[in-house]
Amino acid sequence: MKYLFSELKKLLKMRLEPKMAWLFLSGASALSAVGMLLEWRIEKAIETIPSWPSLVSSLLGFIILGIVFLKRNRASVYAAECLYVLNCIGIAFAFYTADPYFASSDHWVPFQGSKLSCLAAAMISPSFLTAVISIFVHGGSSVLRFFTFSPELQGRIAVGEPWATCGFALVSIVIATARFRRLLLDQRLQKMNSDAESYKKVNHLLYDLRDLMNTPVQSISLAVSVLRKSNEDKDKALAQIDRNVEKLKVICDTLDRHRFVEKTEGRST
Amino acid sequence: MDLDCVKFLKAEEVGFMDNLNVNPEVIIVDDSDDLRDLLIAVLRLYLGIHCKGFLSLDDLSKHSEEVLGTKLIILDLNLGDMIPNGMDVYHWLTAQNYAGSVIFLTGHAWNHPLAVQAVATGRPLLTKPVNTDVLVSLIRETIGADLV
Repeated sequence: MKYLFSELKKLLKMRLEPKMAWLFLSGASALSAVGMLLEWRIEKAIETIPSWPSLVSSLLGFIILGIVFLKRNRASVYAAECLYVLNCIGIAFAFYTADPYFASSDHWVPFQGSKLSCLAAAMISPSFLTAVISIFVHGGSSVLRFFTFSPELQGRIAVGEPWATCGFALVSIVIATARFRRLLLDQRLQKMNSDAESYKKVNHLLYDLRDLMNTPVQSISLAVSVLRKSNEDKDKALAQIDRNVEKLKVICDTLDRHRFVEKTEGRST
Repeated sequence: MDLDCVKFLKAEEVGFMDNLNVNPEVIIVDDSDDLRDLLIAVLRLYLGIHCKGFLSLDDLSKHSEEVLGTKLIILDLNLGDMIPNGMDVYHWLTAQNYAGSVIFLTGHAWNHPLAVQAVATGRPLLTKPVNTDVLVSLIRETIGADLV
């Protein structure tokens, strides 16, 4: 249970990379801009349906598409998420307004647009959270709309509502979960690969460091042996000791500097 | 003539030999100038043998006749970046049918790939810092030199 909660927490934080998030947002807004124009065309079949909600939703889609184009190089994922939810609210509102008129007609398959939007949200939302919000907005608005119908109308439309819509919403959440869980696993795999690469580099560094430090130590040890045996080579051996001690100092200073950089980086993050 | 006197004379001869063009008994291949010079000095002082140092495979190959005539080659495994390492030198020596002994010397740990390759040759491998007495006794055993 604890594992499930921790995984859910991680999933709720899952977002696409900024570039991908904006790419998916542009897809979603283009879909709504064109799709709601199609909806407007369909709504014309029933004269009493007000055309402004679908046109406003379509316009919203075009506006978001424009924003995507203008801000494509300096946009955050958070902005993409907000615009995505706004686009979704526009669509849900248009469906919510038109559904009672369709429901009064004889040949209506209930909440088709909302069901399709649930599936689309699962597949093209920029984050798991926005997918869940969008699915709730589309599914919830349809279920809410269903309960605003008169009992007679509720009985007349297709059997199984609103459970069919709830089923679509549920399946959409499962699809979104699978999609973002896969992304989460990909990210973990990438991190593991990068960690493995870092450990490999550190390992090589330690190998080199060992060699780098042991050579001066060996030189000092040999110089001491030379001094024990001979006075003639004294000055030369002492100079060699000094040089090699200096080499060790340089290595230690380099290590200290590296450690300092690491500490500074740690503090800033 | 007592034994100490013989040893003294031997050491003096070695000193002269450094200046003369005499074939060395031991060759040291190491990229560190200090370490190379100190190894030469230690072997001269402790074993009274004439040694010569080389920096790299390129340096060795220019003196191949002299190199292939020595009894022992002390070979550092790491000879610097981007140049042939000690194992490359060893393979070159094998290809030249070198008949003498080889002792590998390394600052790396035993599990370093180069150290593993060196151990696989069956030749002795010493890891730095090696105790002077251990080094001297191993060389003495290998070439059969007397202590000075």
